[in-house]
Amino acid sequence: MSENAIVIEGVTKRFRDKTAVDRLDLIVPTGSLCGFLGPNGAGKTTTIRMVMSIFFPDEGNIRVLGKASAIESKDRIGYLPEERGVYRKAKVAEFLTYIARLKGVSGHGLQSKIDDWLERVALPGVRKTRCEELSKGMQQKVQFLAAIINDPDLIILDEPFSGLDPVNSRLMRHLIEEMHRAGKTIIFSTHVLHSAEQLCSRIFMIDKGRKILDGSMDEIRAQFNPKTIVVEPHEGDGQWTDSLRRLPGVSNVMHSGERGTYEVSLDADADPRAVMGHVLKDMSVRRIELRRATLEDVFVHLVEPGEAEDVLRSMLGSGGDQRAVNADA
Amino acid sequence: MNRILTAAIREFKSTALTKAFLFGGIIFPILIWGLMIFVTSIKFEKPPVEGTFAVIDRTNGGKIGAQLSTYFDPAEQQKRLDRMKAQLEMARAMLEQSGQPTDQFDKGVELQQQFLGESKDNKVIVEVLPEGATEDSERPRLNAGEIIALAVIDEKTMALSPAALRLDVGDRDENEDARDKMKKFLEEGPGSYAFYHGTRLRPDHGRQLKTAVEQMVRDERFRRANIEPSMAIALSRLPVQARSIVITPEGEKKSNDALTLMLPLIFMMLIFISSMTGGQYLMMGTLEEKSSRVMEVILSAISPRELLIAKLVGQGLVGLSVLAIYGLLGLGIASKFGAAAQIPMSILPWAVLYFIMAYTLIGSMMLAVGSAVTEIREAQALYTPITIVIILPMLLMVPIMQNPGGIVARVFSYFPFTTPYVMVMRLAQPSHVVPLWELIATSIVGILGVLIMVWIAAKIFRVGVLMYGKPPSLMELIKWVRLA
Repeated sequence: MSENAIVIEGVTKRFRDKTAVDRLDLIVPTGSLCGFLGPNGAGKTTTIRMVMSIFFPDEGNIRVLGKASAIESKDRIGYLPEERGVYRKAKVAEFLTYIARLKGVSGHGLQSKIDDWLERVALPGVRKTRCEELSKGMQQKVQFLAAIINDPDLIILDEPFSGLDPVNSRLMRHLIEEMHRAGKTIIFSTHVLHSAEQLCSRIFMIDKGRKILDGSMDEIRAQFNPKTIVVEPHEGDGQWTDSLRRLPGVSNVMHSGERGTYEVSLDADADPRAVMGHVLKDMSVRRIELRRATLEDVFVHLVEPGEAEDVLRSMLGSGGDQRAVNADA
Repeated sequence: MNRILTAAIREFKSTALTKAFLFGGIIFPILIWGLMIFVTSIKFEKPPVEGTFAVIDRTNGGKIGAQLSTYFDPAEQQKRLDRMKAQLEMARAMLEQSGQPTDQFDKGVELQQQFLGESKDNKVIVEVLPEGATEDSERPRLNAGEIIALAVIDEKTMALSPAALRLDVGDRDENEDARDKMKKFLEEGPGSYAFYHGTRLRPDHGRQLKTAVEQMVRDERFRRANIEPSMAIALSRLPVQARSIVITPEGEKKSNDALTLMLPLIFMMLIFISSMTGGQYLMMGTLEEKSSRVMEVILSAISPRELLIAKLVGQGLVGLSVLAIYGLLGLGIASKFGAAAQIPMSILPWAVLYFIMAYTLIGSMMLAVGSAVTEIREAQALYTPITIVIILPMLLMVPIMQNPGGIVARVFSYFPFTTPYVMVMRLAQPSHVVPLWELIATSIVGILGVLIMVWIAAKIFRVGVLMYGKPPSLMELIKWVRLA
């Protein structure tokens, strides 16, 4: 097996006069669990479709699992498209069998494998149910099984969490982690920053077809040093804003989403540890922490001002991290 | 290859093994067929004619009125029926002796008996009106329903020498009303009579009364020409029957003229129906895969081109099954009527080839449309050009059946959209021999056309299957073909 599961070099894709992907370079190491982020319309799905050889790039090269295109290694790839569905009239097992056959899985042992998987995604006993009789979330789990039923080495999931309730989201996260531990290479695209942050060892972010971020989670955190301290005073409600604001190095103080908690923004040149010392001297606190860089913070850094708000709103619009929205000054 | 096969099998199964298909494609046509036989075999009960039939007889001698009275006399009716039966039985015996088939004859007898039987129960009182009675004097009785009809017969009705029939329509230059004259002549000229009736007279009852008058008038004409009417009728009923025999290279065969005429039509319709069935399923199937968003899941395992081919193959098998079922059904019916030998078996392999051509052409167009749109009603606009192509063979049907070697037939043999239909019609016509070189040349042109259409469809399909939103126009489709 080659060292990199996917290598994208200088890839450009245009639709009519719109450039969907613009000179993109990307490397997905074998065995990694990568999050592929970006707002709606950033070019994520187009990139993934090019990796899957559903679209072909106008310029540049894509190598998948060491082969010149995904066509040559389709049977080793599992793909959950963003535009996904099931044959409404087909029974669950029929549908999965058909997809598995298309991916070259022979009939022997396939049925018991389907049963095993249905059990694992908490859908026992649905093999003879028509797909149209399942709820949307259940259908989505069937679609996920369709993507991985051929036991692929490379798994590409386009928006795997959209439309899932919290219980199923957690189940999906566990499955992804489990497959990652089993040595599979996994890429999933999402516009929900929170789930990417929890799962990924590596992150790519694209916007308007261009890569704006690429690296491991730790690298990214180190790169975007936070300038925010979270303080939760021991007692008192909302009476600490002024005293916090008077401290040296503090530029702004906001109530955070949590009750009785403050977010203290620091000046660019302030030393967080010194400020924290001041806080501890001034008041009795239940909790004080230097906030780790969230992807949200990273995003704000990366995307141009003015635009950032739009992008963030579009990203957070569909059930993302709520904190930024709740912040009141 | 395996993928194509898997997808093709699914396509076949998901269409052919559904209840809807079994019902719509097989059981339903058979049901319709059975229903037709059932309906035609029912003898509808008709009420007998009852009432007074008034006659004003102004002919010389006034015999018509009296004879009509006799005609409707119940005892006379029964006698006539018996006599007719005896005559028919004799004629049948003669036919059998001469070794001719009697089935056609029996059918005729059955019809005749049905007619006679229906007139047997009539209770018609013929009232011959005295001299001096006029149409106007009878009008109140007609209105009151006391008489059901009034016939006024005079010498003009009887006057039918060939000279009397001559119609002077005058100079051609000034006879723009010639048609009116002709109509007037037929309605009021020699041989006509007036038949008055109220609105309540049933059309079939009127017909029976008129038939009676017609027969009596005719008998009287025979008598005036010194011919015994019953002899004249008997002579005119004696059959002149042609025994049609086709001379083929394999020998002589009895021919069934109706079948010879219908055969090209039957073959064309078979190909048309089976390829349209397949094409429709292709469009609907693609549309469903697209709108249910399962398309990209499938495309992650199989390329668009492979999928297109698999679909064509899978539904092609469905179409072939339809073709085979209807073909066998037709063959069964033909052999029941002893006409199976007349179907030239050498045409069957060609028919299969022409089906494949016709189906692939329509099918790939349907696939292109199905892939380009997201909803069935968006398909309408793109469907129009297909409709034109589909209707074309229908329009050509008559000229080609009339002259299978004519210029229309030959030209459209080389137009890929019509090649299969035109050629199968030409081949199925026993009177026409298609030269071998023409068979080969048209096949090459046809297959080339099909390949080009599949190529175009594959391009549209590849772009279309993942394109959602506003449906493309025809111009955009052409752009897709260039783009892909």
